[in-house]
Amino acid sequence: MKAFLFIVLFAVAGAGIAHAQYESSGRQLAQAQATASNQKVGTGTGLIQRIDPERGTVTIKHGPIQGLNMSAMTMSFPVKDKAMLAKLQPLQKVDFELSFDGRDYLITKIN
Amino acid sequence: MSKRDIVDIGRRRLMGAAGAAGLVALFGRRNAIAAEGLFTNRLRLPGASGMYAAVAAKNVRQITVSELDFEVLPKVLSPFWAYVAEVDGKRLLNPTLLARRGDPIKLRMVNRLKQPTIIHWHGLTNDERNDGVGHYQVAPGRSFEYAFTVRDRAANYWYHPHPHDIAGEQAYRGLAGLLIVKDDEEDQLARALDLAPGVTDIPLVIQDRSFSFEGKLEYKLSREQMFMGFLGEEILVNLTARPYLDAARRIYRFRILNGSNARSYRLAFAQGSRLLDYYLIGTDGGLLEQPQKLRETFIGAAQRLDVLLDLREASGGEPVFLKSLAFDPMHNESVDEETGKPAAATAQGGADPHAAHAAPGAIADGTEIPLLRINITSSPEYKRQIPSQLSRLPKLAATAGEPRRFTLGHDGKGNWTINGWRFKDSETPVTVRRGARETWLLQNNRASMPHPVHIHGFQFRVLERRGSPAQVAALATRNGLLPQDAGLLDTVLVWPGESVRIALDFTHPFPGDQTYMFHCHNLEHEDTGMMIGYKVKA
Repeated sequence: MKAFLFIVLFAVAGAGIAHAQYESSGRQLAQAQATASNQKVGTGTGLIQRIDPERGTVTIKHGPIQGLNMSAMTMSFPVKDKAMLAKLQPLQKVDFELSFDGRDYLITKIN
Repeated sequence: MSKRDIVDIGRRRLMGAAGAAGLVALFGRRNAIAAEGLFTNRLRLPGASGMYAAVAAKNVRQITVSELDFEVLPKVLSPFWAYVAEVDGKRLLNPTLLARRGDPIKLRMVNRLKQPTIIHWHGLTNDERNDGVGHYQVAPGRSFEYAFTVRDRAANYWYHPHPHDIAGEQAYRGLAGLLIVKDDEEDQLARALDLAPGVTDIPLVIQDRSFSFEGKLEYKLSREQMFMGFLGEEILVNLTARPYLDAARRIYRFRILNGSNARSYRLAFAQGSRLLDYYLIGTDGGLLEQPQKLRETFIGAAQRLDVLLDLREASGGEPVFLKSLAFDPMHNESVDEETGKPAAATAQGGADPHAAHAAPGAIADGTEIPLLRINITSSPEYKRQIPSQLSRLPKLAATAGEPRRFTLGHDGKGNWTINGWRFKDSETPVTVRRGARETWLLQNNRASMPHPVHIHGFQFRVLERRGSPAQVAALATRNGLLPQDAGLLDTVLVWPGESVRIALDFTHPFPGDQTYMFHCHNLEHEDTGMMIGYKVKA
């Protein structure tokens, strides 16, 4: 009896976990699909104002960003890889590629 | 990170300056510390050719005022305006002109700009034509002949544009150069301290600038900036952004010019949190009688300070920074004139209450900020000491009777005035007699901001300061005088509420009546009319 109960509980728990995993992966899938459909990429030119290696961000005084309908302004953006910041200096003129997933911006290329 | 979270308006740039010295000090220091590691561009120095190249003034036959492209920021060409000279096959931009007292200067200025211009020889005693005031504006494509003798003491003079209404823009776009006059006393000092031009005797031209997103110089004035003066987003030294200088552990001479359009600085040399002593040896009009030991001093637009820094007093290998310390910039345009307290919103007299916040992208006036990183890279044997006596200054005593009074203020409609007057080219509301000695009292209203007052044609001495704000009075000695008041000046910074008595001697050798200008050297103030003509009657 004890063994039966254990098997039942295990099965229920397993099903629950499986369900949770299904839900989680489903959400991820849905998110990924949404992200893919919302993902936009733009390119811009700007002047580096500040670099924050710890946060992995760079502040750029930039011109209009083609492809993202963003006008000229000064903004701080995260970079895809903190190593990208190593070659940057304040007041350096840069060209960069910026992605936007409907919620967040991310610099994917900068030079 | 979402866009609404990350629109960057830097903290230092949000800070209102008026009455916020404490905040400026707090946040400014944090920014200063963060910025200290970022000085990666070698300081531009006068070389054999190019920008600031040193050349004997008497060998320059022509200066062409030109529009060209120049790398202000590394690897970025920016439209730039420069004084261009060709000497011995070399092309010199804004050359550092060298002369000795008594030298003749004879050159042609050719205007290749698309607007009128004229060169003013700032600080020199010249007749009105060679002074280069706005009466003699030179149209595009035309030329102008200068011919004069350098009559004044050895000192750090400079030359810059002076066309009315547009001097600020022309200076901002690049037009400014030094004229260094030397004499036997200068030679003696150079020998005593083993100073070499461009190596241990270094000019430092401090200017604030803004750049477009493409790295090009940008001069855009809002209505508020027309009123308060231009404030930039970066502070350059010798047109170098974030500069460093490799130095030895010995004495250096820095010939400092505040070439900014409007910004003042509170200059100090700091190693970490420790301020180093330095020695003021000269002002606008040349050497002081004795060196003055300082830890800090103010410099207004157009003023020069000649200083010695002994890097043997620095400890260890930590870099030394020339920096501007935090101060209250006193944008007090809106205070009540009687009480000096903030006026009610309904009684602001027309002054713009937002003037101190007028440049949201700019470094707020009065922010603590490093200007130049000095790396101590060697320790040669060096045992020279600063001489105790440098020169003798001509005596200038106060005259009897009431001084001639000039009140600096604004008209409540956004215009700065002198005695309520605004500049009109056809008017010279002040007349003095050639050879007369006069005392002038420059009184700045409380409802005002600091004004660097420049008098053309004659150098002067400061006799007394009264009503100085606490941050200025703290640096004063006898009669409220500042260390630089011990020297000859052509420009004096007058703070809100302050009265400065100056002594002038209107003796000069030029025949006939001569008309000069007297104005605020905040160039946006000058351009909008804070200037008057005065006549020296023969």
